[in-house]
Formats: sequence, C-alpha cells, structure tokens
Amino acid sequence: MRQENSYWVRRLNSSRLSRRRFVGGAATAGVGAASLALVGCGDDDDDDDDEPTSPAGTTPTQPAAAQKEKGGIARFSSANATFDTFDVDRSRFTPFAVLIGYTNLGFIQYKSFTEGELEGAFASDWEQPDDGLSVSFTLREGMKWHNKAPVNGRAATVDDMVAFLKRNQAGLLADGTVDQSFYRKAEYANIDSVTATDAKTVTVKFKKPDPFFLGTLASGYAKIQAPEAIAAFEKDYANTSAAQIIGTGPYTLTEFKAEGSLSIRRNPDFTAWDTWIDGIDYFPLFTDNAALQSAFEQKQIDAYGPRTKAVLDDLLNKYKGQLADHPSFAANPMAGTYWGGSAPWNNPNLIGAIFRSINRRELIAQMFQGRAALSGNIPPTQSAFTITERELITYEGYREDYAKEAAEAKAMWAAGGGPALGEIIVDIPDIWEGAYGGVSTLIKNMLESNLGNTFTPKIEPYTTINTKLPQKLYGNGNNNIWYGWISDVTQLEPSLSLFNVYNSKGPQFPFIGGAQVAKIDSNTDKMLIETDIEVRKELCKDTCIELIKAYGAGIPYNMININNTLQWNYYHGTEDAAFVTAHQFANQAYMDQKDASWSGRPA
Amino acid sequence: MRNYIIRRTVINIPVILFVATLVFFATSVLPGDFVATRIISQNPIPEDPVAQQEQIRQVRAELGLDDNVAVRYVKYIGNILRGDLGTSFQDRNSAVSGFKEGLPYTLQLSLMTLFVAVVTSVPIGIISAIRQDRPIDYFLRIFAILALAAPNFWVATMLLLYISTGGIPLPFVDWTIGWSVDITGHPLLWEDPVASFKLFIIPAVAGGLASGAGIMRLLRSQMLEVLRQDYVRTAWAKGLRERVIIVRHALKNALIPVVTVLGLTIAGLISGNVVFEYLFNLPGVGNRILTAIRSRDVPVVQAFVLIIATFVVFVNLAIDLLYGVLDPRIRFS
Repeated sequence: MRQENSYWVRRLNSSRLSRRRFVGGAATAGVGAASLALVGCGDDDDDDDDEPTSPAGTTPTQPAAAQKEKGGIARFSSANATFDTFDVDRSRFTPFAVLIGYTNLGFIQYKSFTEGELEGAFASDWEQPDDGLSVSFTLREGMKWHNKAPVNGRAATVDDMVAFLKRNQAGLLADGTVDQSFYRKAEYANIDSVTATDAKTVTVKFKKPDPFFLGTLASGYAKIQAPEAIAAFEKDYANTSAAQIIGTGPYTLTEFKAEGSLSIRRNPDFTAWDTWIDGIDYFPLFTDNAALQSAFEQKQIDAYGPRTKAVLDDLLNKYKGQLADHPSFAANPMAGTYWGGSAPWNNPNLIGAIFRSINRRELIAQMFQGRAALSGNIPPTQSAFTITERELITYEGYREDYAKEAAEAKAMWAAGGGPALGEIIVDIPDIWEGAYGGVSTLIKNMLESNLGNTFTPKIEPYTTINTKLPQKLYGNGNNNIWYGWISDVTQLEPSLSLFNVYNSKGPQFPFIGGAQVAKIDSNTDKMLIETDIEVRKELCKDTCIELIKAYGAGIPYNMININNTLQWNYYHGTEDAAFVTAHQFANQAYMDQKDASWSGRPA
Repeated sequence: MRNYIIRRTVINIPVILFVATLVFFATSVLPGDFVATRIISQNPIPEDPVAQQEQIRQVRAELGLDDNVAVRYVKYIGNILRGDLGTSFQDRNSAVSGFKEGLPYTLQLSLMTLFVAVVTSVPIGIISAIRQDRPIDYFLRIFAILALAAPNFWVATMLLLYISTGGIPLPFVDWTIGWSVDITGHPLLWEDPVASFKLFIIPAVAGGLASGAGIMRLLRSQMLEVLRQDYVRTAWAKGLRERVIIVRHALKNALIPVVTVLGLTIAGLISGNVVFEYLFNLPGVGNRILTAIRSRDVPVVQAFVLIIATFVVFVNLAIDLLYGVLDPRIRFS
C-alpha cells in the first residue's frame, strides 16, 4: 500500500516531475492543509525523470524538521469560506469540515491519508471481527466536552457515540421531520443495531459485511456533537455562532463571524495527545490576491496559495530558503457526464471519438499553466486505489501522441456516423468558464477541428446542468454533453462510489452512466463485500482501466488541478492532502520560533 | 427653503420606491438561485437527485422563496414601508447589519479619498488656470491626464505590493518609500491611528488622484472662463490683490459645477469603493455587497442598494441647497 499510495505524492513533491508527461509542466498551486478555503495555484517542474526523488510528505525545499515546541498562534486566510450550517451531520461545506476538525472528535480518524492509516479519536480503540458483521469501539478515557452551555464540560460517554450513529442513520430532526440535508445517511443505512454494551464500549452490528464503515467514521464530516447541543441548537444551526460548536477536540472555537473571522484556542481539558500550537486566527474577506500576497510577504498570514505560476515562482525565488511549496490535488476533478445507455452516446465509436478528441494536455497547459494532472475515472487524489500516471498514458485519450489520437478519433467518428449528427451542444458551467476564461472555446475548437461537426458551447449555471442530469438530457436522443467540475472527492477509498455510479444496480447509474459493462459490474459487486483492502485496491485499479476503455462509461474524466500552498519555514503544517486534515493540525503542526524565517513575523 | 426641502423629500420617496422595485426585479432574474447554487455547486452529481430537489424545496420554503415573484414583491415593499429590509440568506442576520459594520470603513476611505482629491485638485486647478500655457500649466495638465489615464486599481495594486513588500526606491537618494500595511487587522483611525493611516492612505491616494484629476480639469476650465469675465477684469482694474480676486471673486463662481461633480464623487465613493475595498481587504460596504452578489444573498443586495440609492438622492438634494450658499442669486421655490 505504501508504495502505490506514495506514487502521486512523490510525483507532486518531486522537483523532477516530467514536463514531457504533463505537457508544459505540472504541479503546484495551493490549498493550505489548514486553509478554510480552496485558493490559489502554483508551480511548474521541469525534469525528464519521473522516478521518485523525495520521500512522501516532504518537498525538495522543505526545511529539516526542528524540535517541536509549544506555542504560537497560526494565522490563515479564510478567503471565500462560507458555512451552510453548524450542524456537521447536515453540512457538505468543506470550510465547516475543516473548522469542526479542530474542535470535535470523530470515532476514529486518519493518522495519514498517504498511508491510509487510521487511529483512535473519540474511541481510543476498535475491534472488528473477520466476518465484517460488527465493530466495537472503546470510549477514550478522561475525555470531556468543551466547557460551554448547555454541556458545561461534562464527561463524554458511550451514549454520545450511540446518539451520533442513530441520528445519522435515521436522518431525522428531533421533532421527527425528515431532513434531506443528512447527506451521509446512506453510509449508515447498513447498520442493524447500535448498542452500548457497557460504560466503555459501543457495538455496531451490520445487516451485511460493511468494509467501508471505518472509512465513513474517519471522514471529515463524521464528528460527534454533544446531544445537548443538538437539542438546544438544532433549529438554529443555520444562524451560525461560536456557542453552537461544542466538541471534545483539542481546540475550542472562541470567536466566529459569518464573514470569516474565526479564532480557535487550545482546549485546556484535552489530554488525548499533545498539541503544539496555541490556536489559529482566520482573517476574512481576502478576496484579492494582491492583498493576500502582501499579507503573506509581511508574515501576517503563514500560508498562501498564489493563483498564478508567475507569482509562485517569483516568491519561491525571492524568499529562497525561507519558505516551501506544498502542492496537493484539488478536491474536484474536471470531467462531465453523458448518458451512455441509448443513442447517440451508446455508440463506442461516437463517444470514443469525443473522448479522444479532448486534448487533455493542452487543457492543462492553457487552463492551469501546467499545474494539473491527467485523471482517469479514479483521480490521483485516491492514489492507493488508482493506476499510476505511467500506466494511464498508455490508454486511449491519454496518450502522448495527440496527433495520432486525433486521427483515430476522426476515423471513429466517421465510422459511427458522427457527421450525420449535425450540431452538438456542449454545456459549460458558468462558474467554470468564469474561472478559466476561454475553456469553452478551447473545447469547441478541439472537437470541431477533429470531428468536423459544429460543437456549440452553451454557458449554463450548474443548477441547469443538475436539472438536466436526472432527465438524461446529455445523450438519450439529445446531441448534448457537458464538461466542468464534478462532485468533490471526499473519501480516500473510491469503492463505494464506484458501485453507486457505474454498477448497473447502483443508485446513480440510472441517470449518469448508463453504459453497462459486465466487468465493471462484476468488480464493483465484489468490492462491496470484500473485506481485504488490498484486494479492493486491485479491484479499483482494474475497474479504473475498464472505465477508461469504455471512454468514461458516462463520466469522461479529463484532469484534476493541483493547488500549491506556500508556507514560511517556521510553520510546520500537516500532511498535504485534498481531504480535510484539520484533525491532524492538533498533533502535527507546530511553530519553529527559532527558524530564521520567524524573524519579522508580527506579534 | 423649508418648503423646498419638504417638497424634494416627498418627491424622493417614489424615486426610492422605484429603485427598490428595480432592484427587486433585477435580483429576481439573476441567474443562479441562492439555494440551488449553494446545494448544487459542491455536488453537481448527487447520489439522489430526487432527494436533492426535495432539499432545495425545503430550504426555499424556509427562506420564503417558494412564493411567486408578485407575492414576494408585495411582501418586500410592505416590509420596506415598515422599515424591515430583510434577513440575509447567508448568515440569517438582519440584511442591514452588514451595512452598519461596513460603513465606518467605507466612510473613512471615502473621506480620505475625498481629502486627497480636493487638496490635489483645487490648488492644481487654480494654479493651472492662472498660469495658463506656462510650463507649470503643461506639467500639471500632463500630471492630471496621467492620473486619469492610469487605471486606479492598477495604481493601487502596484502601490500596495511595492510599499508593503520592500518599498519604492526613490531616484538619486538612498531612500525607499515603504512601510508595513496591516492587511489582516484593517484598523480604523480611532482604533489605531498610525496603522490605519498607513493602510488607508494607499487606496486614498490611488482613488483620490484619479477623482482629483477630473475635478482639476473641470476647475481649470471654469476658472479660465470666470477669469475672462468683466467683473474679474474690473477687480484687477480696481487694484485688488491677486489672492482676493482668485479666491473671493473667481473661485467662488467657478466652484458651482465643481460642487456638483464633487457631490456626485462623494456619492460614487460611498457606493463605488468596491475596487479599493476589494484590493485592500477592507470589510466595507462595497466589499460586502460584492460578496452578497456573488453568493446571491438577495436581501443583502437589495438592502444595500436601497440604502445607497437613498443616500445618493439626498446628496443631490444637499448639492442643490449648496448652490444657494455659493450663489445667492439662486432661489429655492
């Protein structure tokens, strides 16, 4: 696992990343591990050798680890951070998952996304029999809730764990109302019973073996809230306030303003593990990159994601040896969907021609100045479960010889009767076009120059695209397709979502994919009951290959962009991952106040 | 004059209601509904599209968006007449609360910008007029055209980056103009005068020079016209001192159109400081309205626009009243 898992991380971090492979260079541009919002862009690498050159989790410019010391308030920007609610069970907003990752513990958590390693949190330990039909959790001893009303610092109990599971399984508000905002309800549907077997143990029994339950409980949104807090605030969680956040985590939220002013401070009653930094201040309204850059250069904030490669390069050069670049994959892959269950897109020649006419390297070069990576149907974000870039570029649509791809696409298009289709509409989300001006023209030109038909880009809001999806309006008799961002990747393991989307029995299959492939059905069926994660990894990789061979099987992936975060060397942050890593902040991040770069940081 | 003020105020009420109507319908047809955008944008391929649509319906009902436009309009106007400008979709606070919080920043920036505009434009306009076609006139006119031509947001960005991250080196002397700029704290003058001045002066100079350049050119042309009037020639013939002729006789008469422009500039600064607030991370009115537009927080947009429109309407009234002070021949009837 370690080796495969590290591949993409090494690729991200290696200064010797292949320009030849990524066209125009790849890597960089940033999301701080502790940043509340996705911002920024980044760097370019230039070498021909794509062998790993540096260990996972480090960058070539990263300073040597210093002796950890306590103290310091970290400062970050909360640019564009918005919060839908302060009820984590009903939230889907990453900024809130980050925030609650500091303050509330889940049952368990990822010690490392790179290694896929779990550790205890609210539960100090857990035990799962080989049959996969149950799991028992042991309550961490001596844990207390934050000292805020109405909980007032009482000791945490197994009942709190039981209440969390039952609420998410039921998806009901206290008054019995069904609320569709319990987004992850389906992930708890396999629970048969939840019992507090004694004062320290909770046992969960499943209806059938559930290999994914621990992954669900380790996710950024599976954080336990105090039942009294839910009772007090359930009707008012959308009116966000610091008083509503009551957890057992290493930090408490001491100040919150909706526009993005946040302060968290060390929880004096937290004893589960050592915390190093005293707290974090988030500053709001950083809308302009020049202001962010100015604040970062003056060390008023400790991390910053430049939007352009030029600025990233300039700062790396200007402050050589004082700061480091931390690249990580963005959350949302760029793809689209089509309905492959009926004409015209059930014709492999037609959909294959479109799939192969998209020059992904050109898109990466034009849209991201090279700071993105090719992506198959399992993005490199989930590196342990997907094929390597080296393998990816051996398949149609991803090959380096685009001229050959284009010529073959043209032949496929003609063989499938493509010219007779006439005009084809390509919906492009307005915010995607807004973020990458001209992307619609790029796609149009690629398709038209190879296939000859008129491809008309139509700029539409996501709401329109989302409405068309269940009606199967992308295909199914319509000469339509769309490209943009698809849903963000929130889980380290893709198995369950592969089943949901691509298996012909999956809940999303009827309105997204529609391209039934026997091997994919068989693989995803096996994943659902396979308890050996190593076997699931291989199944996922094999499925990814089958999906690419089926030209996306309803979701033609293109790429995923790479965010770069610059951090001053005095700040030692968390693992650079696309997933929420706030919980890691408490036991990993620290300030090295003896580092030379600390000089000049305002008090 | 009292009757004039009352009449104008009464006339202004339908104007404000008309603006409210325009804002309401403009925001009603904005693409991208707040609720749908919020729920869909992060999850365009939902696990269960039916459940997602139900969730959208629930939230829309909760926010009162499930009524048709006509019903919502009647409710909106009714609420305005009762002094209720609505509740933010985003944070569920009063839509006006953000305006109150942002106003001090916008006012401080506007006043400092106006100060820079006036102290640069008035002397320069006068000097340029009374030294017409001399080298100093050419120099000042070129300066004004440069200030007008250079996009002020670009000037502001350059000033910010140079001043805060190394300083602007001065030619011939071993000095740099640079200081730390408190971007994260954005203090107001009464909170930390020095830090506040260091922060606000940069956008004030960038904005003030651009506004001042226009005023300078207007004042110069007005002054030139007035200086050619018979009564000014008479004043020279009487042997009055230059300062008295310029300030008391020429400037006062040249100021009437300038005051109009100045008034509109003030109104524009309150509503139009969006760019500088955005660039300098000032949580002022402009930045807040921009954020609200982006997130489709319609009640906030409606409330802010309505307040700003009301302000502009009454600034215009104030300007009209000022005409009478500057020129006693003007009577309000």
